[in-house]
Amino acid sequence: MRIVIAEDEALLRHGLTSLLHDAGVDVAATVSDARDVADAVEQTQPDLLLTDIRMPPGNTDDGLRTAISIRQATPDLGIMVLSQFVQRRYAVELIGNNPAGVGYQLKQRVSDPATFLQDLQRVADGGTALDPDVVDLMVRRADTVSDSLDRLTGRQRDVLALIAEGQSNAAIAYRLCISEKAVVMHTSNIYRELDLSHDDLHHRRVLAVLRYLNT
Amino acid sequence: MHPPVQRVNRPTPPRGAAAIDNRPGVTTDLAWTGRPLRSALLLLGAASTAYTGCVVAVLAGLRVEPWVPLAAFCMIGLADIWIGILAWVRRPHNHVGLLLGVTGLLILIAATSNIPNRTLFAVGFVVSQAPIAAFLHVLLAFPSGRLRPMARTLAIAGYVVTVGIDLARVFVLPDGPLPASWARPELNVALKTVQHVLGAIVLVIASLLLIGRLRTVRRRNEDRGERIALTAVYVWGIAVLCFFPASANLLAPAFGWSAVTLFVAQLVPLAMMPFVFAGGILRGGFARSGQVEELGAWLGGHTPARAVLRDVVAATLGDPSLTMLFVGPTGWLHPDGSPAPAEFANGLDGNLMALPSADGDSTASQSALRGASPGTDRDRGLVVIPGSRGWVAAIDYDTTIIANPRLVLSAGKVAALALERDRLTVELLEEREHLRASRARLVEATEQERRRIASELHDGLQARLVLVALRAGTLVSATATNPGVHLVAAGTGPNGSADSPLDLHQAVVHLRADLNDSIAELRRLVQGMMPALLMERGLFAAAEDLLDRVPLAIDVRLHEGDPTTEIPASVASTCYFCLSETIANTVKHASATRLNLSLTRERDRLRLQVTDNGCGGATRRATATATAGTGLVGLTERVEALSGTLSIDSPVGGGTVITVELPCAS
Repeated sequence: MRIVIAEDEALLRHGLTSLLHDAGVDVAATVSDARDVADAVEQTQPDLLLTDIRMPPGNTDDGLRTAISIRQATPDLGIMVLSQFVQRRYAVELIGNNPAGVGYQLKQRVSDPATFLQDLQRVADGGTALDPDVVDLMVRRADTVSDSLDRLTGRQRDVLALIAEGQSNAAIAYRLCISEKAVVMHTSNIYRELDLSHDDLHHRRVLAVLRYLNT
Repeated sequence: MHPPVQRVNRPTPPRGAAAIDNRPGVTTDLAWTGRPLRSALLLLGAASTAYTGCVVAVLAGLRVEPWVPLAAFCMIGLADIWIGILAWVRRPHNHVGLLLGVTGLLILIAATSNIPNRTLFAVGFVVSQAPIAAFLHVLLAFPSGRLRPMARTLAIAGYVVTVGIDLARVFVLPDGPLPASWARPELNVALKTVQHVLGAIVLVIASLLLIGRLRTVRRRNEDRGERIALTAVYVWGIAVLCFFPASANLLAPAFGWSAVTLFVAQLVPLAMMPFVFAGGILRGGFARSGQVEELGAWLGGHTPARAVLRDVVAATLGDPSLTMLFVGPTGWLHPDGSPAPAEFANGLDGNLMALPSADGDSTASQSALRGASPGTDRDRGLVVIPGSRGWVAAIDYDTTIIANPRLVLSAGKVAALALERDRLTVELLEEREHLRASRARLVEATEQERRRIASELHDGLQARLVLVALRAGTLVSATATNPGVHLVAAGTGPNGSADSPLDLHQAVVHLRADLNDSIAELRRLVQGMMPALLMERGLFAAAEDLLDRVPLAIDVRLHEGDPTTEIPASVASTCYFCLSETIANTVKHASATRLNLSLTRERDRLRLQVTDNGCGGATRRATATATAGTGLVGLTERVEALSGTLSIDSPVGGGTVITVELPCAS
């Protein structure tokens, strides 16, 4: 896996580089300014772009805006956005109409390298990796906007959240300590309750759930 | 000399019961003005008197003929000076006194020229006709003593024709003070003719100007006394102007007058002059309006107490029984601050209490003037004085002393200006005190906020980090004493028992979880201090994000206006914290089920309104629990510091409406 890292804090940039390097990931380039990201991506043709949100030159959401424009130009490139804080609206903007090959995580998730690397790999492979905190914001907002989520049982809500994070059935089963069969059953119940059209394709399933949560 | 005011805190007798107050000291002239001036003028008068005495003594001693009319001429000059001084002392802001004094001086110089001496003759010859020009000057400048442009030209022409031409003539006189070789008799005659012709022209124009003024007197002056005085002075002045050339050119040849007779005849109007002019200023119909002018000038330099103001107005109008009532914050008040009897306010009808209409105070004056006293006393009049923001004062006066209510209104308006200046000063001081207090509270708020952050960092984050360090330290000692053991170590679990053997891996996982918790805590703190979205995306995005997290049904109306023009950071964060504080209050205390929120920007104004259907009583709640700098109190300070407003409408049991308006021109 080839990665470009865009991060303006030197300590974190070095930390990420060595973490990824130790894990056998090829760090093709590191940049510290949002304006250099597009060039680095074009020159090194990585599988994944790992970028911070708040970066020079504007020190506001420059990293996010760069990521969104690169995603539009090269939809196949996986993009993982890291941030000190997570915002629902940033997630919605980043995903757009296509949750394939996109991730949005809190920076502190790096503290669990195994899970972090798995998430990176999933995004590079065209999957989705949303931070549980973002999904939590989405679910809570959906709760206040309408009461349709009230129809779900507690366990169904857990499954729904994990689907929104982009987890596979196997991962969901492992997390909730239930069988994969049970996950499938929960999933179809959720679909029925929320009137979602059934789709076996993984990223369409994620998209349906995210759309549902963010309407 | 009179002391300015006799008694200050005299309670005003109730209306209707006002008797004539015969206090000594309150006289009809403004004795409190112009004291330093008075000494200087007395000295001037004394000097002039001495000089006149010398001239008369010399003329009489030398038997200069005709010395008796010449002595009378000198006396007229002296009378001019003294009467001018008197008028000047009484009306320091009126120039007629000064002009009379100048005329007297010119007469004295002209009279001096009769002493046989070449130099004195030359000087006297030049100014010999100047008194006539000075007379013209005073007449044109009457009654204020100031000249309007057209009259100014005429007065200057008068001096040029008299003094200017005589100055030229003195060089070419046949038997003048200069050497005989300079004499040009034919030029002298020509100049004299020119003087006569130009003089006649100036007099004719001046007469026409005065006749024109006579016609406007009726229209402009509604006071009968002033009308009569002005008419009399102008008619007399025109007659005198015509008399000077007529007496020399027509009367003297016709009646065969000698030069002495002509001189005596011309002395008569000159002698009348100071009495007519000064009388017009001091005793005529202008007496009162002149006093009002002086009152205005005096108030310009003084800030009198209300009781003093009453005394001053009473003295100005010459009515010792005059009473004044003032409009205070609670209604009509006596000068000593005690409330006026209710009948007084009731006596004024609703219209009188209303504000003056927008088209100036004419309507207000009309309604103010309309008021004959509502009381039973037929001899009492009432005038209510309008100010810039409604009625300021009311004056109750004796109609047998003051016939014209307009005069009372003028004096009252002058006094009202002083009152308004007072009020503005008080408002300014209050505003300054408010500002100072607000600034102090802002500093206090910053301080409180700093303390709060420090204590949160200390109690929350630091405590957590110390715990993490403790765990790491335990791991260090466990691995040091038994370096060979990697998988199993004696550690401290969450239960704190040091004896229970734990998996080393498990201990490190705990350590990581603690660190993650610390990071989350730090994130929460930072987010609370300054939300990332507010900095990155601005107020409206941050507001939306905030609303996403509120567990309440919210009806939101956001209108950002033009998003390309930036809202200043201080305004944006203040508005944001108003919103978050309000919502937090609602969620915590109001037990509301619905929240209505509107955040709109129109041009250069940001408006936030939060309405809930909760239990209300927000003001009390805020003041009871919040210290300075937190809660709604602190927010109000912040909003006001940015020239905005924060209003709370929160009746108990009736929900809460909080409205914040902030100027946001960038």
